[in-house]
Amino acid sequence: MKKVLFISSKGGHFSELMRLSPLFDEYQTTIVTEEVPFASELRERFGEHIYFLREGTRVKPLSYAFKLLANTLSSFRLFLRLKPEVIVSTGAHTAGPLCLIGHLLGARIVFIETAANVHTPSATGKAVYRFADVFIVQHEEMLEVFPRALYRGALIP
Amino acid sequence: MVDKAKGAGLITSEVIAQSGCTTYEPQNEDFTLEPFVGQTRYQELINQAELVITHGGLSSIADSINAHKRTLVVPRRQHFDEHQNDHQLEIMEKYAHEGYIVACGETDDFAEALATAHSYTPRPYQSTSSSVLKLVRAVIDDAPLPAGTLTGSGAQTPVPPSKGTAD
Repeated sequence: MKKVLFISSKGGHFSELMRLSPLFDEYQTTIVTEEVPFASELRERFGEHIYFLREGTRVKPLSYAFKLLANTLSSFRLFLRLKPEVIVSTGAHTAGPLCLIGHLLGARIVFIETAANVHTPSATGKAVYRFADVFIVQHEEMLEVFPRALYRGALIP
Repeated sequence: MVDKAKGAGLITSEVIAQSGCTTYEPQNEDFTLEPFVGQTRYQELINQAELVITHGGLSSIADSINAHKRTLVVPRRQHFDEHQNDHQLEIMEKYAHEGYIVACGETDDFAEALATAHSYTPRPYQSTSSSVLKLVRAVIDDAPLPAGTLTGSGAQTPVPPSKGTAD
């Protein structure tokens, strides 16, 4: 079975990632997200197949920089351990380093731009679009922002 | 705003609000605050509601329109330091335009929006997430894309992106 890593930040991005859960059993799946309040439930459900990174937000730039560095190192170690063939991400910044690392080390990168933005690209989306193998948008309007993206509908609602 | 509306008789049913970290105390009767609600209680409340009033985060709107509830969206705004960006307006505008929700923008009158929200018939939302699943599966498997997949050029059978440096 193909090794697929599904990664997202917490919150809405994670809800969108979980909409992909019917696919999890079809692959050798690992899930990566940020520490969430319900982490223990997720550990129960996914066991050793789920990893948690430190959360980061651009509201506090300095601590964000440190967390980004820590996450980049964790992402690198994680990638080397898991060696996924495909990385599927619903964003946001926390997922960025692993997408880039994966791309540089030969993984196929599938990025799904959030359904929360209808006309405005996300920062991570803009960055990952440059190198993603497949870029998926969830609003037809977003095809104007990302011309080589694919559109087939929305995971949320 | 909701409390005032309740006081003014614009809302006659019971109001239950998830108050989170706010210290607000409702002035009116029949108005309950629950600081945080668990998933089960949340779903219960949505199912019981005649009207759902929300800030406009996609998750909240999604839960409401998936339950086919009347939804009034009053978005947070960046210049009030309420949220990081104004993208919530984009979702609100799109779904209002498509008839799923009623929007109350900054310049709209809350009482009017409330009245509209109480009486409009929401367009039933049809989920397309299974279509997206099929697309993601095809992409992971490197299989042909599902029919109807659109790309930026308008083509229905998109060309895979080239990895060449000419890009």
